[in-house]
Amino acid sequence: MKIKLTKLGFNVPKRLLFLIMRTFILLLCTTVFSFATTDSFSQEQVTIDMDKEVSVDEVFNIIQNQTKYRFLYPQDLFTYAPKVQLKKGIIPISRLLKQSFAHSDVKFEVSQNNTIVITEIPKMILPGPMATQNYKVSGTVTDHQGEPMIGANIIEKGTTNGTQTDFDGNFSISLTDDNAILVISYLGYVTKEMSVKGMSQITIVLNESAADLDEVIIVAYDRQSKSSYTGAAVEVDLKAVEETPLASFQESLQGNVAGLQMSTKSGQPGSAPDIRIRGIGSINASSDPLYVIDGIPVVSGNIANIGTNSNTIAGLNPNDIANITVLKDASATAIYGSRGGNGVILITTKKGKEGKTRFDVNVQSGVSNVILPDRMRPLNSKQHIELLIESRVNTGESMADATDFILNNVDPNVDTDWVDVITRQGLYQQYNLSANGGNENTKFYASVGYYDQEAVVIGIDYKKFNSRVNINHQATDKFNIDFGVGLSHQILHSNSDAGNAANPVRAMLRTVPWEPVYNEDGSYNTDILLTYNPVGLVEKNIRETKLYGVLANLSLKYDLTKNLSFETKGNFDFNLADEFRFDNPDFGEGRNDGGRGRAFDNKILNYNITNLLKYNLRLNNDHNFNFLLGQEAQKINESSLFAFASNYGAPGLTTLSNASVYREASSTKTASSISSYFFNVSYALMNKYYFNATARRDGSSRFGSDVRYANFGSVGLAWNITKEKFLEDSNVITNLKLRTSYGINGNQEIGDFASRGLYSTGADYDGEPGYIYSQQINKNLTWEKNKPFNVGIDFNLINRISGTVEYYHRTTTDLLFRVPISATNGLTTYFDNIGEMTNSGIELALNTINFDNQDGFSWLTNFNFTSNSNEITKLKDGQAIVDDNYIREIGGDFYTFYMPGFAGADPDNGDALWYVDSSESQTTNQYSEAQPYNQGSALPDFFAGLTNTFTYKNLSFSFLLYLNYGNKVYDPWGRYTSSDGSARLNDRGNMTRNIYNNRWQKPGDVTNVPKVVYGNKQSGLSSQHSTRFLYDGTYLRLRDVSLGYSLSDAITKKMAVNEFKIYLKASNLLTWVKDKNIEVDPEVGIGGQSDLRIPVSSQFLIGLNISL
Amino acid sequence: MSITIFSCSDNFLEIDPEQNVPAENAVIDENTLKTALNGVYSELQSSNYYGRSIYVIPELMADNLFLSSRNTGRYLDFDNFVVSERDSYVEGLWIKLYSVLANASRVIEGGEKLKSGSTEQQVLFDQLVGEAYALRALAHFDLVRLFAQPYNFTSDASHLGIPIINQVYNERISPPRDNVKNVYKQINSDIETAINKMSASKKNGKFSVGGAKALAARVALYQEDYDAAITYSTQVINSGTFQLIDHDQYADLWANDFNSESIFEIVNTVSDNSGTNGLGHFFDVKGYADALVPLDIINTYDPDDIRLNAIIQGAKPGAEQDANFVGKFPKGTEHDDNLRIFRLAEQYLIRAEAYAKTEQPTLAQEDLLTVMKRAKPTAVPVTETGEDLMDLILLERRKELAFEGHRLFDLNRNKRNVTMIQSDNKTEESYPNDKFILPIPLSELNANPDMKQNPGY
Repeated sequence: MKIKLTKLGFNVPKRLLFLIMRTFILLLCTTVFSFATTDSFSQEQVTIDMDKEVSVDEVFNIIQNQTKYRFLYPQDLFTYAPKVQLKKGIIPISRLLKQSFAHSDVKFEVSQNNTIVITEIPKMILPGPMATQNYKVSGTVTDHQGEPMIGANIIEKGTTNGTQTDFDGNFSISLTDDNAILVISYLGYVTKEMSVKGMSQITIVLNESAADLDEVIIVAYDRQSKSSYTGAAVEVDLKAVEETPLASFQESLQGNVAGLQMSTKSGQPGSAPDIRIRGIGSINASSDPLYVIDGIPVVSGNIANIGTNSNTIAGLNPNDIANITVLKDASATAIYGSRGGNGVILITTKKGKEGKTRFDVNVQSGVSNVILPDRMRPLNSKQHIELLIESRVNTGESMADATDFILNNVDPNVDTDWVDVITRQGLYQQYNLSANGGNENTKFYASVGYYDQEAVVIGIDYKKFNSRVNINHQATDKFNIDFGVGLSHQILHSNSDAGNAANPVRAMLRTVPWEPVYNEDGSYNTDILLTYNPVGLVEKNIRETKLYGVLANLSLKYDLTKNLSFETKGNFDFNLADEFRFDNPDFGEGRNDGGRGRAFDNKILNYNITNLLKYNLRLNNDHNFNFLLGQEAQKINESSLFAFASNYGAPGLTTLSNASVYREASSTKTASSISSYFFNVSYALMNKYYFNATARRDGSSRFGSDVRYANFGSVGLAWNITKEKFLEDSNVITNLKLRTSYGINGNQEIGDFASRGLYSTGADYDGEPGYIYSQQINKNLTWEKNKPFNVGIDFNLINRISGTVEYYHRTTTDLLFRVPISATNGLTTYFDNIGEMTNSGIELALNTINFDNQDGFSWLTNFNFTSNSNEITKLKDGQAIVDDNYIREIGGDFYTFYMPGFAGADPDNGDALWYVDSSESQTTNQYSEAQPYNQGSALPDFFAGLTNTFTYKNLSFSFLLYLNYGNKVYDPWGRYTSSDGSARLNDRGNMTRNIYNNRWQKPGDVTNVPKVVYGNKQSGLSSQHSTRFLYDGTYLRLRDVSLGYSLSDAITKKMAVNEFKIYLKASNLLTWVKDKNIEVDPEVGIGGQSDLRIPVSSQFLIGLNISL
Repeated sequence: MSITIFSCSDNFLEIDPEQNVPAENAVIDENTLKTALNGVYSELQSSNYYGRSIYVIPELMADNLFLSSRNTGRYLDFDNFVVSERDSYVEGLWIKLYSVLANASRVIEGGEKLKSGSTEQQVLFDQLVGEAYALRALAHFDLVRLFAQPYNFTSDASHLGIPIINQVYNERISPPRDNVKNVYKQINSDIETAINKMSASKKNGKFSVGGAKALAARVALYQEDYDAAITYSTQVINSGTFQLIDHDQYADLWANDFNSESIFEIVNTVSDNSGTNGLGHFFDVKGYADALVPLDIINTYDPDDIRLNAIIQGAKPGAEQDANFVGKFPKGTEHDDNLRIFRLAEQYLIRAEAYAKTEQPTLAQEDLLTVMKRAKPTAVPVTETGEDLMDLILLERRKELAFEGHRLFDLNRNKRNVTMIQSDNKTEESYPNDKFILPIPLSELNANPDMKQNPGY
């Protein structure tokens, strides 16, 4: 008997599932177990309170301590047995015993008085090679990720002939028959049979068996077995996060998590995308989820002044992430109380594993290109001049005069391709190195990373440096210390977006082609864009944002008794944005005062203390309680500095010391705090019925003292139907679980002092201080309450089709809203709790194993679908609120567009027409007579992600399709690019290709593009918001395509590496839009408005993973 | 663990803002009274008020300015005479003006509650509170002339005015529009209080008795209360506090802060620079140079008229080769100029108009000549009377007060048609005209159910 059992940790695949089963060492499994078990025995479970390694004798002690069973066996029977690795969690006794006896040829029987009798059975005599013909087959067993499986059992079918895989997943077996079928098994995996006829070398891939696993998922403040969990939580498949070229893990969530909508607003690398879990939870308070990294509720999003698209969370290296769990319903989030309302994203970073130190190296390099379909490409000079001449003719001028006039003012020989000028191919590279290892008591994980990405727009780039160390130390049997610290440094070069003169994207889409970039002498043409030559600005100006992040946590855990433990955690989250902006003295913003320099410094220190008391109570076999009592306090301090000086002298020197005029200096400070207590109990009845209840009390500094504290809570129920007798033995339905929950959580993300009546300082006059009335008091301002109801079914059919279907209905009451008020108040908004809103929807997540062929070909499909509908159900006084281009009214959804309807061009005269009102029965050519009305929502009817993964031997191929369906997208800048001639010769008066291709030209033309008229006042004015620029936002995107090849084990062995993988990846390769007129990329952020931001780009890269 | 214990104490959740003052503590002593009053003055610097809009709009929507064929799009709809209720400049004006009203009312209420420690201090308090009254009158007046038809639009001024704000509200309000008559009543009452309370005859950068009287004279003229207009303008002219700048020193009128002709001006320091949103930036060829001066007005000047010096000839890059730029804001793009809201020349013209309309042509001719002679010492006395004299006075107002935000009001309150000049177009818009006043902004209509839109919008 070959026993290899010294080191652990070599078999834990990269994707760290918390599978209790898989942490046991598996050895020879030719043992035939004789189960003489009763029902109750098979249901009985014990709780392993912490990860540990114990002898078989100690296993019996554990079982005896927790159950009524007693063991009877010959002394010394297990003296030489290897130790058993136990992982924290819950495990059925039968399985625990099975593992403990895995190496030994024993049988056990449960007698009437709950005594388990263990006896040795005679060693089986394996047929020796002498007795057989020598058909020898060797091979490798891996999991579906290609990780070698150590200790997998290989048995010749129908015989007792067997062996197991070694450390590298390799095995070799001599067979009695060349028609032999091998049975390959591994606990927690689907057993596979395979014909080996004529083969001498085979590779076997085993797939996880969902039914057999009792996965542990990471939940709030704890871990819990998946089967007993009553909440809606999704563990993100880290394959979607690893190996992606994206700076932040958030960007990888699109299409991978049902119920989670991710929309990128800006192509700025390192930017914060919009993330909504189960719809829009709030109006004016944040709708962003809470991010918790290793137990720390962290500062997320933008903290910068210049790089306003920056994202503190991008500081976390996706390669350091071991687990991402998205918590969606009340049962999952209520324990986060006032911050759980918009869902919670829990992130756990990688921890060290015991064993030989393993090094992982990942390298990626690639390019990105702008996505700009032909319909969006600006016109050239010839085309534009044609339009201008026509626009003069349409004012009544003769063709000859019009041509003369235009050619006198426009140089047709200049033809600048502004797309070519502003965009570029962006280079990208990323390097990561990590090491992990340790011994029984102390384990470590350490990593460094470097990320460098140029955007597809000139002057925009992003760099990131990361490092992280996680250490776990088991000080004594009872005392465990966890320490982690992550450092990040992000450097962004960004630029202004929207209508800002310095915005290069605006320059690209709006500058006329007859203006050159450079003058004939090679200097910048600063006659354009009010001197804001976009190329010159990139060269001469500085817009630099440096973000520094420290995320540190220390967690101490002490086991007071075997059932009672105390944990205390101290967390520290520090973010600094150090920014500098320089505007050159020659052109652009600094031209009139000798150049301008601005320095910004913004610091946010967030600390959090958590104390947890956990208690497990087992009344008898059927009743298991887990209690959690916690206390938490968090404080966020923010302070900033700003300095502004102008008039520079020394060439090339840009620090403020080189400027002579000191313009402004200021500092600000603010803080907020939360103090909380919480309690959770989960109760398992016969491991079939589960009950979970949570209560939390939060106090926040942000609310008035009268309404400062609030209570939150939830209840959850789950029924594991497969544990019922009628399904217990089903081969069809291998898992079926029904769960439901309801609760209340909250939202307090409204700024620090929103309830107070305030004057704002800083309004100085003539060198003297001044202040202005800035906020109306609202003593009653309080939490927004979010009440989610959830019902879901988890299922697994024939071990091939697994998934989850959920329905949710989420009501937000006491909506925090910045109510527009009459300006006669001296203010235009007032913060109030005004109404109610609901989000309800259906989520479907489906994972299928379509093909799992014996020759190593497999095909897996993951599909998720989310349909959310948002409805405002109550508003103060029932009154609709018009907010810019949206209307918020009862019965409507939050992002309902509200603007006049465009009715195309009058076929008779080419005038733009608008509908008079919502009946759309009458049109007018007077914009002022057109009433605004509802025009549909920016929120999609549904969105879905489909991932297919194909594996053949060492080759893998996968792609992700993302579909966003049924929303509207508004281009507020369409009013400028569709000027219909109103911009005359303005250098920002470029007209779109749509105008060129489709404009009205002569009576009878039926088109939706009006005629062009020089100095047009009828249409093309910047105040004319209308559905002319509102598009159907439906799109289908081939988001990720990945082709990977891993060297076979035979080769990696020779090379002395654990893994060697090379892959190609492409993202945003193809995009299909439903609305062929859309003039922007349809992915524009949740609100559905494009804003001349850096476009989403396509990307190609090659990557290499080596593991030593 | 010490933090844990700390967190349990009550003051963990007691955090106060560090850049804000509780509204109830905004005016509690001499110092805070000054600070709150400075806040009101600083609102006047905004590009949504005297910082730009109120100078530009009444000139663009008439014949004194037009937008270059190559412009930044700022105020384009005013130039095109197609202003809509969604216009952001209209909204900006509305919001800023009501902010002045709310803040001034808070200063008044806070200041009047203060107990002075000495007579000297009471005099100071009265001066400061008086300034707030004057600022409130100015903002009401600017609102009513921008958003409501002139006083004489109906015989009893009963047509739609604007909501009056004359107190502090701690609850949200949605007031309806008052009629024009009541708005003027409020303005006059505030001016009277201001004049009574203030003691300073001139105060650099601040309202003074002189400033309040200059305002009173202008208000009276708009209200067609010519006796009051004559009384107040005479008091200003005769006070001896202000003198017209000499012909030779005409440039000083625009270049020198607090010059002898300036009655009330808003101070802009280096740190107030609104940058590209400044008035200078809007006019200067080095800035946007969006608005240009039409030949139509240039041709009204005698070639020797010194006021032509306030118009700069040049070329607009990439557009008009022969362009004329506004030169009344000589610091241009470099530094925002002080904003002269009242100056003595206007008082002469106010009095001239009031005399003319009260059948006192000789006195009117005299005042008119004073202004003309400063512009051109050899100017010959005017002899016209009646409507002709009125035409001359209006023309002189156009020439003297060009680009200072008077033109549209002057024409509308005199029931004149308005010529709209654009870069390649010119149209005559007839009186009465719905579009001679601005629409109530859409955001106000949406937020205030009792608000009524102006006809025609």
